[in-house]
Amino acid sequence: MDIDLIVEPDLKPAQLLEIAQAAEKFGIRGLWTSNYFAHWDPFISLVLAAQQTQRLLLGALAVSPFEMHPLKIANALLSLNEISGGRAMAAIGAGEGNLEAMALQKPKKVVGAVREAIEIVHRAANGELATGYEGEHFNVNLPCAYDWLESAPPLVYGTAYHGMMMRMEARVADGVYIGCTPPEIAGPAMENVRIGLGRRECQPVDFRINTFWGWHMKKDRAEAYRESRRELPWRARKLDPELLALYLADDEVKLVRDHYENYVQAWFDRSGNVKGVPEEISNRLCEGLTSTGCIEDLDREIERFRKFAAAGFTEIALRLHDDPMDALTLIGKHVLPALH
Amino acid sequence: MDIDIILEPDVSPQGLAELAMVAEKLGIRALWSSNYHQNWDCFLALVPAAQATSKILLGPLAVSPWELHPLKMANSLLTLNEMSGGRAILAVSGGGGVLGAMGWKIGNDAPMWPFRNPVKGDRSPDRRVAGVRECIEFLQTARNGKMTYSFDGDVFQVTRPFVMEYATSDGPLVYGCCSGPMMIRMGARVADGIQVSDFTVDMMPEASENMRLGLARRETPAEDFRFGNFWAWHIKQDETTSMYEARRELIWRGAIAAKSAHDIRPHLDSDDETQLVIDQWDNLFKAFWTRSGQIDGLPENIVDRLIHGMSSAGGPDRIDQEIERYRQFADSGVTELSLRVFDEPMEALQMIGKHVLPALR
Repeated sequence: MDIDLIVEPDLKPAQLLEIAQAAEKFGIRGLWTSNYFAHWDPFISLVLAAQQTQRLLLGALAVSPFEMHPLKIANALLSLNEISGGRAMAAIGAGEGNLEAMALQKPKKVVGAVREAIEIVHRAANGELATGYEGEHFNVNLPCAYDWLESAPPLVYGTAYHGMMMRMEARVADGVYIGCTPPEIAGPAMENVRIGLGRRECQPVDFRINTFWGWHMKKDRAEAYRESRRELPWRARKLDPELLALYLADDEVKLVRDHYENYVQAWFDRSGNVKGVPEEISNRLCEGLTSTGCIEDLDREIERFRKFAAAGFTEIALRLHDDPMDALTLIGKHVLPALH
Repeated sequence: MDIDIILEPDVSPQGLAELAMVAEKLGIRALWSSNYHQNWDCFLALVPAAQATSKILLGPLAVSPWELHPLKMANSLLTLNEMSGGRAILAVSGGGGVLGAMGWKIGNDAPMWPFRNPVKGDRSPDRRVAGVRECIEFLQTARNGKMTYSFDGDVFQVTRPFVMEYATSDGPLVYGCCSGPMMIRMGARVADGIQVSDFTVDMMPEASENMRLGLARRETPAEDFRFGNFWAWHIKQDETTSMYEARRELIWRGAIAAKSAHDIRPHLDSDDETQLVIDQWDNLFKAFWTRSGQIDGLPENIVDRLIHGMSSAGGPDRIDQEIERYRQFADSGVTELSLRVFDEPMEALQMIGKHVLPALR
């Protein structure tokens, strides 16, 4: 199983380059920029890294076809892919915060719309858009020859939280990016992926199954937990009760749900201090839904990653937060050697 | 008057960087990448040029808020602006080929952006002028680096507080691609500049009047309002090659693309000739997409009059005549002429640098 990194959206292109070069040296497979609504453009900011690395995959996570037409996604992705010599990737999903920020609504058939977007980007990347595309949601009316493409096609992932999306993406994409699924419950997700793969006309040689996973391992345990609590409102499908119940009693689940806005507030004020919820409860969620702790806890996390591998994941994408170079160094020195 | 260069969309990022370096040395003010539907991303392709140069302005031409939400456009523009040290520019348009290629349509009954007119069934944005205005206003808000609690436009909204903290450089300049009277007035009222397309000298007084009306309505006066004109440059060492290229691209000259009899007529001798040109629109288009430059159904002398009226074409002996035309543009108030070059852009750039720039200084 490979390790990818996902970095915060506020890193400058030059910082991204430093992270990319170090990540490549350590043997990280891919580096993902985060596509947020008031931050660096995730494709453009990767150009420096694309120019000055040789092997590392580089991608944008996640892009919604409702904020950017699939043809625009294709052009950005393919431009980055050419500049990187065939190392670009993108994860396409229904969209979350960006769409809310833009007051954009998704169509009712959101899985179908995302499928169309993946198909358009995939076809563009593989020179199969010359006759356009007629979808229910998205059209390409003019021939798209893409005769300027020389590199191997980029990887096109779909992001998914739920079964129908996973099945669709396994059927049409190069990979599925599963959102924050602990290995204990990876089975149903894998089953959906398997069903989707079974519906493909021809089986892919190297289908990728990735998952987003929060990384809060630090030298300072208290700081690690503070950062992890701060990011909790965005974990587990925004603290879906079904996932909370894996780690909490019913009354604790209710308490957390009742105080969801306080979790959001703890993110906004950067304190990680969730008012109204005992810290121990939040910390249990941190431990269940993310990798949180200090260096002494690394073996526990490596064991968890082995469970991800055993479940069928081909890579996990570790989401870094503060001090990303420190996090990368820890991963590079301890996690990668253990998993290879 | 400054000179800008607009490139074909198939120029690679590396090729663009090489052209940008030469253009900067020659004294070109700005280099525009073309935003087409099946080509390099118009922002991303400029990054190597941004790295390789230090003075020249760099920007995409043109991007529609109906292909890229203004919030996404702001992030792309500001990212390029930071990476170029404050030298990014952008022209916002209401439509264009990319929008046509996308054939935006709405799925089911979801109120998905952008809308497809359920009655007309077309894909033209409603309230085009208002949408472009809102986009320009949003970009200007985003570039100021201050916390903004929301943007509540009629066409585009941003409902969350936003601050582009990463945008610390000056600029970028935001133009409106404005050729219609209402669009020109709007652009002059809100943008940093406007760019009209294929306007002849004779069209300038009306455009200037609309611009003046728009400028008069500004909340704060513009210190250095820019007035650009997109103008096709086909002049080459070989006149035959030049005229072939000009014939091939004639369909996209503003008056012809829009089938505007009013704007075609001044270049011809009669209304019948004007109608003939409009009737042969498909053959003009065919000359482009087959790359033949062969326009069936139109006499050569009509084609030549259109070409010389609407673009700069011919051999080197035409340059003095064109420089005189450019001086008239300058006298009309144009602050920069954006010369659209086609095949062999480096040769075109060298010719412009050698002959046009010195004459206009």
